[in-house]
Amino acid sequence: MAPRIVMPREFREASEYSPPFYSRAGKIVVGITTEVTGSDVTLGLQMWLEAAQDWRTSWTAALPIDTAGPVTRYTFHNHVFGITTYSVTDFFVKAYIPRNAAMRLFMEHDTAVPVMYSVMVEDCVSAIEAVA
Amino acid sequence: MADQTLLTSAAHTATVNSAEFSWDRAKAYMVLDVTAVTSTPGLTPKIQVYDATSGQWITIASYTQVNPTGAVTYTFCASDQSFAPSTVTETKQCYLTARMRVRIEHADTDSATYTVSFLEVNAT
Repeated sequence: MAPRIVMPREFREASEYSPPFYSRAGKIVVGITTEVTGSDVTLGLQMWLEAAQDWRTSWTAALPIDTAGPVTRYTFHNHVFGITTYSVTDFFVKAYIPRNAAMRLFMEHDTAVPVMYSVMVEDCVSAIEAVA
Repeated sequence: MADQTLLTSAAHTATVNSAEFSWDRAKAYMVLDVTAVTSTPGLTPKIQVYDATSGQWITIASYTQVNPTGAVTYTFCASDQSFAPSTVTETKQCYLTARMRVRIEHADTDSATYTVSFLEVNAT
């Protein structure tokens, strides 16, 4: 999966889902660029459950919005080592990436205060080169 | 390989076994997706392998009993490595085999409606 912007840079006042995406990698990186401080936002990862014919949330976390370090990176990985947090804006999350099931991300807004951000996802590489 | 739907949506009040299925990967996500309950059912998911020599189903992974009070999705890892992410309900380290089934043991006769599926996960 090539780097893909699943939520383009724009102000948002309400919760939003990304389009579905697939990965054949053991690790994926999700990068979020926030440009202004705003309401509390929760990032979540969902996968499509064929048996239920519905999306199911597999992970969520409150997103640290920090204009001093505006790129927050989550690496979902299947390594057995125990690193969970590298810095306040660089997180490692132990997880299995489903091979056949579609995934999608969501950004859940707790309030209607607008927040500008973009979200990208890609198969794991050493670093995110850029987030639009 | 394709993901497997082992139990389609139905209400159960007693222990149920899936049909035998084949699996040729070392890891799997097992998803127990509960959509409705009556009272407080206790459900213990197990993975069993078939021993053709003895003709017995052998439990290789027994997960902790869950007690859903409403719609809830449980995810269980079965892995050949010690792997316990917080993103799943529980992980068991075990070897998966070509002939398996899933067993959902009920602690009482309270009803639970659920599906069970086995999902392939990516290698490192």
